[in-house]
Amino acid sequence: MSIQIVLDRAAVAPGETVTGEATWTLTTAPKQFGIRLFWHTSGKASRDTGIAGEQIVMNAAARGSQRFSFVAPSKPVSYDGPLVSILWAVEAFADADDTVHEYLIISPTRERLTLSGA
Amino acid sequence: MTPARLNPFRSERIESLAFRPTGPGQDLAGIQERWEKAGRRGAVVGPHGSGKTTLVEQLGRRLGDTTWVDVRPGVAPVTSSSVLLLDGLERLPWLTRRSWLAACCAPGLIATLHRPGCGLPVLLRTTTTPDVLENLVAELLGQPVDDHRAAECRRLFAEHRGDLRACLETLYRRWAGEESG
Repeated sequence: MSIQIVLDRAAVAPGETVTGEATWTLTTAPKQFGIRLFWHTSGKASRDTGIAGEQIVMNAAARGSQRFSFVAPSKPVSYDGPLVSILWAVEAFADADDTVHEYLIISPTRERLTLSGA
Repeated sequence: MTPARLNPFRSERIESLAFRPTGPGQDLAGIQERWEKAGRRGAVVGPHGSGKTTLVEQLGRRLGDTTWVDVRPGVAPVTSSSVLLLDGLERLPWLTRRSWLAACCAPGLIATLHRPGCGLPVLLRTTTTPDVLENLVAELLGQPVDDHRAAECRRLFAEHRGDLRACLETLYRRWAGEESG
């Protein structure tokens, strides 16, 4: 079993498009194969998360590939602080059991934002 | 400054730690056996930060079909076809705890408590030691703790009176550069 995600660009600005391709080789055909753009927090507090977009492939074969495209939202932006980081990723999943994800950066500068002096 | 996503003491890593038995009979199989013998009702008892919730989460995964209930005032007694895992029972007024529990309808339940009570048999009393803290820190850092870190663990353990969660939160802040060690 393997699922792979290849991003065309590892950093984009809000309003630009996150594109790439997911490929999968599974032992059986999944009922559902999905790709989503999501963010999550990491840090001192419990993880928070949000989904910005999702593409579902119905009746997917056991092997296949799918191009994806999501418009990067304006917020939240990729951020690094001492108490919390905000991370964006594209996740591919088969029937919610098997998932992989690839991190990317969404910010106006295409770099993780930090507070100056932090 | 260490960014939060690289802090070894970030919450998702703390939450992935397994319960550390500190004595015989504290393995999951032994606890489950006592729970079955007690009529599938019981409590994990221990002070703040001693691993009660972590242990009950692990028991829940072992049992399979369970429902997690965050008990607090205003939450109604639960009817469920799966085993209830009750956290926070002590948030209910003392007098209502027993009646709230009696009104729950489920094929079994496990609660976390700070002290024995509510008519629930004690399945395990969770305790902590400085060695457990050292062991957890070593796992989070991905390497054995050196003498300096071991001494820090012992100091923290004493300052927080054995509350491992509080110790790990302090280490998070120190790692983040908010607080000197």
